[in-house]
Amino acid sequence: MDYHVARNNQKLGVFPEAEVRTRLQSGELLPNDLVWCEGMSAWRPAAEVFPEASTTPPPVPAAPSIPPPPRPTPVALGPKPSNYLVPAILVTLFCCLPFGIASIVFASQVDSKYAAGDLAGAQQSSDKAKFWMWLSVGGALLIGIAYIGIMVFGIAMGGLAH
Amino acid sequence: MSETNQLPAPRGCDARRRALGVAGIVVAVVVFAWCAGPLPPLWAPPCPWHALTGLHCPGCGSTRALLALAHGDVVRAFAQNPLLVLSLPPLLGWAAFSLWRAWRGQPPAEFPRYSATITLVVVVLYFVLRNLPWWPCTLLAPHG
Repeated sequence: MDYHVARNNQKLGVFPEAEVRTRLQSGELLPNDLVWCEGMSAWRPAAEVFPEASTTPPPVPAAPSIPPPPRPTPVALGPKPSNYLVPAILVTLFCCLPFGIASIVFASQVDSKYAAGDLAGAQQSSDKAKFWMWLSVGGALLIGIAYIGIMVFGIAMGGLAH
Repeated sequence: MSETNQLPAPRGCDARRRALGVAGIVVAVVVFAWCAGPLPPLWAPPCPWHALTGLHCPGCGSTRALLALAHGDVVRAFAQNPLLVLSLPPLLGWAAFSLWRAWRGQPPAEFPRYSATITLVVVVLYFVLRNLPWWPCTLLAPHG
């Protein structure tokens, strides 16, 4: 069984169960890290799923009368938006419209903006890369279908003329 | 546990279905190319960019190159669109790797940091070079 592990709303990766245990014991993974595997309805703290492997006990609210200290808000970025690089390359090579190049331009912007910590900007560039990619696909399909239609029409007219 | 609810549970099944779809498209293209014969059929639409401007875009020659490849003629494929022939092995390799990862419930492989920028530079250079009328550049334009 493979477990997805996340910390501060960011995915750390996917590990087999045995590895999650060893990493918990070594302290590389923390009891508060969230884990999820196929079949679980929601993410749960690692300490709950692997109580025996956690080096420190799960945080227990001290007393109901004292409110727990506020958790430091995580400043981690969300996951990187897709840059649509592979579809952009494919439409550039197969759709014969230079729109694919616009898509690659925005793909590289996704990477640079995300690296600079600008998640919103990266998401915008991701949307634009997607837009130009689909515009290229749509344009190529439209032109292709129109061309084949005209060819068929021309052949039919030629047949009528004879 | 408000934090817990913000993380969507990974959906392995979706990724698997998409990976299977991609694999299906690749197989369909190869079968079609093999059935269509080594040259594009008469009704195949020409490159609209080339028809309008007379210039070769980075995709010009792709159809001929793919058909040549499907019939085992790597030399003619290379003469039609060398960039396509060179980029197919890494693209197919990435697709196979992603398919394998999707099967294990993982997202597709991430690309190295500058791959999009490098791709952009290569494609634009290729676009310019294959339209220059002098000798080694003419080898990049569809010929033969």
